[in-house]
Amino acid sequence: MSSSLEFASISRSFGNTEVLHQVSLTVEPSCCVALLGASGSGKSTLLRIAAGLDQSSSGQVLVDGENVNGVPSEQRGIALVFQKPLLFPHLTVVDNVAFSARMAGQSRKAARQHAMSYLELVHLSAVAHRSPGRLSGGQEQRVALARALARNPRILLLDEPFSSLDSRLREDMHLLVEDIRTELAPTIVLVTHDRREASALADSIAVLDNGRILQHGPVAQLHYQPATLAVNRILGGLNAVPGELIGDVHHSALGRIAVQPGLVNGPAFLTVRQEAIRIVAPGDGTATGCVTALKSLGAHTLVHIALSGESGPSETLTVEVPGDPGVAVGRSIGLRPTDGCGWAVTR
Amino acid sequence: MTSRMTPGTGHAALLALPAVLPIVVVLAVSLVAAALQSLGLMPFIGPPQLSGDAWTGDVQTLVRSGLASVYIASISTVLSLAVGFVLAAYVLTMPRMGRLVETLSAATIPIPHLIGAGAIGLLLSDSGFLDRLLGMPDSFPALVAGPGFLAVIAEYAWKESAFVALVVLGSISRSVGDLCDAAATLGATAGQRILRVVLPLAVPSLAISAVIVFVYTLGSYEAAWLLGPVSPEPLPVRAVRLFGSVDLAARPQAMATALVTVAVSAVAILAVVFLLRRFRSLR
Amino acid sequence: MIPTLQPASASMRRTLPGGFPMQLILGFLLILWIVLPMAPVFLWSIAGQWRAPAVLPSSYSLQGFSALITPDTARAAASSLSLGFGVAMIATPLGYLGAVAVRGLPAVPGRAVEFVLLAPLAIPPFALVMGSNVALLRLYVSPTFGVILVLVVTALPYTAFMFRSALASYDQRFEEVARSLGASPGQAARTVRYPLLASAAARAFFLAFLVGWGDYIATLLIGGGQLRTLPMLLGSAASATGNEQLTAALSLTIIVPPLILLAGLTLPARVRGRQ
Ligand SMILES: Nc1ncnc2c1ncn2[C@@H]1O[C@H](COP(=O)(O)OP(=O)(O)O)[C@@H](O)[C@H]1O
Ligand SMILES: [Mg+2]
Repeated sequence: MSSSLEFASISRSFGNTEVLHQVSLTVEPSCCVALLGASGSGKSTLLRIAAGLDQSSSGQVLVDGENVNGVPSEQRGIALVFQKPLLFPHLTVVDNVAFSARMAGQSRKAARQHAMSYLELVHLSAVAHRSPGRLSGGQEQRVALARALARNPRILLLDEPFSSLDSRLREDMHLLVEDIRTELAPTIVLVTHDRREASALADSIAVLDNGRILQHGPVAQLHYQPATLAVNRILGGLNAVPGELIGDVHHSALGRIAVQPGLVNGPAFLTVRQEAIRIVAPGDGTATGCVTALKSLGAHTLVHIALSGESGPSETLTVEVPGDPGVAVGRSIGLRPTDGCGWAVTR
Repeated sequence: MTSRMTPGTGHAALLALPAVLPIVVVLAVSLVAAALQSLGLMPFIGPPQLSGDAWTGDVQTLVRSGLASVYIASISTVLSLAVGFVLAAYVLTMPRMGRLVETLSAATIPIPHLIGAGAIGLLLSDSGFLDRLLGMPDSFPALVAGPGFLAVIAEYAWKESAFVALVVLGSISRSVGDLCDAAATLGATAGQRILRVVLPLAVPSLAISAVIVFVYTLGSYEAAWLLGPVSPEPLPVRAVRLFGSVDLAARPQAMATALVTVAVSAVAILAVVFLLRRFRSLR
Repeated sequence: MIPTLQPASASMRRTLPGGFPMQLILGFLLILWIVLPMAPVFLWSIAGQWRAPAVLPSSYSLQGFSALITPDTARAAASSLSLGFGVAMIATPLGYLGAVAVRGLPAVPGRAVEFVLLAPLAIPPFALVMGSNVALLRLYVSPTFGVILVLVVTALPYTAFMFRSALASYDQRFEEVARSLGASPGQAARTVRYPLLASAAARAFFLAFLVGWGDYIATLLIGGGQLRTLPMLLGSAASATGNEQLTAALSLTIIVPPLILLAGLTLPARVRGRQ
């Protein structure tokens, strides 16, 4: 039932401001792609274009390789769950879920029966005959999800559907999405500004920044092999150590670290994730530094370190360690990356 | 901490007084005085004398007046709701033309019914503007002062459809766009979005405007007086004529007519309240 | 008065059935519906000669308007203005107080007050006027005051309703935020509540003004000929035949001031809404 979705150089301008610039992105059938970006980066606009609620200024949306530009949204078979639940206030919960079947011409009874199975899927059959005004936020969002799924969509678009829920509810919803994926296997585009949500739910992540796709790849690749400094930052990477690239080896205050081949020699940044560096005794690491600050994240602690470089201004580095770091501000320590191979970017 | 916006109960009751008092006094005084006068107990001159003549004397014309008024009000209300809803739907869906339609229709709101009636008279009368536009056909019907109160109904439908559109727009324009987007992604076609989303969302505001329009057109004098036929007389026209009559015996009849109008209005309001309750409990 | 609309979204734009030509035709029909009745008024007001089969006047003149330049009309305009402003200046604050009271009262008395505030809508104005007429005479209330009293009662449902709906969407916590940021109760009211309720107040004032400015029946029955307002002049002109020019010019004279007021009330809000 699920289809592939492809954006082919989609651009969209509102007046003089270009909100999307030549966005190209492919989502394979039954895959879940997370579209990650700050608010205002154009994520909702891209989804609205896919759903047929908005027109692109140029470019094409392809579903199973077919151009759907000009096809009205009611005929696209693409369901969209909005940030707000947008349940119809004049219909009960079950009639909201039955809406698409009614639109397709089914009888009220058949449509309700069909709807009940989707309400069971989201564990809400108990509130089927309530009016939507009497639901909690999490319930509303689940009904919205059931309503979209009851349409039997080829593609499911989720526009930050969980961002207004508290963290426990959000985790419940994540489990629900996983259930839905194993049971119905729809093609999903999940828009979010939360990289943890993106990593937890999606097969791959596409980073959208200022209307441009910066990188699209598997979750681990985005974290450990970011294409640019911006991707590194958006995925929560705190470190970008400037240095010099000579023959696939990065020279910096952090020492000499072999990086991916194929880059031209010259200035480059070493992006090393704060989770991928270990604090060791001063002589044992590839570099040394001095602890300048400690910041607790609860179960984890961020350790800010001034690297003692051989020359030039000293660089700072952040390391995330589980539990008590066992160091105090002012202490000299050694540092060692956990992977043998580093990752460098030039911009 | 109680700020002045949510006053204490006693304080709030005091605040209500300046608005509630004049309403209660004027309403009570006029209804009681009307009832007393209709029964001959509060004559303009002379001693009070109980009599039911005003009620029983000319029942037939009173009933005919009542029926004429209910007819005018019902047709006008249905037309106003239909045109008003179309106006609102058009304004919501068409970005540029809709704004023009919205502005123009809002601009008719301040026009008093007296002027509306005069305008409809110039438009629809025999050899009026419409007649001339159509080339003065012989078959042009007697809309003004003719049977069926067509010009009166046209005036009410014209003025009140703009009012209905305004009420509907005010109550749904904020939410309807997003809900139509949601409906479209759920497979609702254009017609289905209008009938299954926009219309049900507008039902409460349509019901409320229906009551207001019905009661208003039932009790409105100017258009019925300027554009209606001599007979049958709608209730307000009959009441005002009797009220102004040199024959002081007509006063009680005027009061009886006025009270019948009030009673019909009350029945209409109760009916809609009842229907809305049923409508809500059915869901 | 006029809701501020969001621009129609793409799917709303396709929500009207029928293609673009149908939508255009519907739009023209609706505009025709709104504008057509006022067209003969406008034409008559500037017509010199306009005999029967002619679709347009054969000559134009301002005789209708120049016939209006009399002390009598000026006095009537002054009466209408003072009636409009008088009713508005009384009914607006009373409506505000009523709405605030409904909000502050517990459910049952609150409903009762709300019912009373809306009750005048259920009584046709002519019935109200006729019933109270004798009583006003017996109490030696002056006709002008009587008219104002009855019209204030007629206008109160509108003003109270405007403030009711504004208060319903007005969040009490705005003022609490202001207080927590160091504003005194008076400052909080001045800088937060009044600006937020200003547009509702303007709409309420406008509606109440219209009730007084355009009234015919109360002035006719209670004023008893003593109070001559513009609608009274129009009523006698319109019921007689043969002075279409005067009727039309007088009609426009009555419509224009409220329209200017309306534009003044809504345009600034719109411009702000656009920004
Ligand atoms: N209808 C519109 N008219 C004008 N600008 C718009 C419209 N919709 C979105 N934008 C602009 O497009 C940009 C991206 O919006 P959006 O796609 O909603 O971002 P996101 O969902 O990533 O937060 C924003 O700067 C927003 O102001
Ligand atoms: Mg968004």
